Amino acid sequence: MIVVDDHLLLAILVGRASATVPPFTEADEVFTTGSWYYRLARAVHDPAFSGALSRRVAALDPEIRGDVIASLDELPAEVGVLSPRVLVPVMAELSGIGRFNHLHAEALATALVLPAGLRVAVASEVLRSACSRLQINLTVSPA
Amino acid sequence: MALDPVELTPELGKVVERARRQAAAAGELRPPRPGPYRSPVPPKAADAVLELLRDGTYAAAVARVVSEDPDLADE
Repeated sequence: MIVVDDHLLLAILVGRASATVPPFTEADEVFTTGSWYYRLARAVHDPAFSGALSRRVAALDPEIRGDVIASLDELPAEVGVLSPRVLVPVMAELSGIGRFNHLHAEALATALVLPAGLRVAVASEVLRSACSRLQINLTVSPA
Repeated sequence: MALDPVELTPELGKVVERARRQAAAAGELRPPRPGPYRSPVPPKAADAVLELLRDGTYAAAVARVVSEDPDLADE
């Protein structure tokens, strides 16, 4: 079981998770967090990103172009996400071992509760240190 | 794999264990639908998105989001 960040979630949503390093396997059960899903949704609707995407898929049928954007907006049922009801008490307790922003507190809490490893494209020193302390398996794999 | 809760600090261990029981009762410990996701995105569009991931276009969009909302930053 793995918890993926928004970069890897985006690769999964377009069916290119196998292109990441190391590749996903069919056996991997995939989770993400509300914060990473939210960041993905915000970034996909960033005018510069959506403009670049539109230019690159301009040759496609307009209906298909619409389907592509819709696919990036929707979290498929094959990707799990834990609810705030479950996570918030753990996130609050994590403040006892360090100062984390919402993104990192939610990721660490999700990994602890499932339990699962974290798979991210970018890992800060804060996240690396916390994962080491909590013995959470952290894999950094650029999409 | 994360530590078993008993190996965490006692307080954190208790909270994690309680959260795990709640998640299990709510059916959240597995994705709602089993099996790998089959994306409906056509290959050409998928390749375009992957390119935007690799050339930094997506990272730049994230940077703009994070500049407005630091709680979404990779710290």
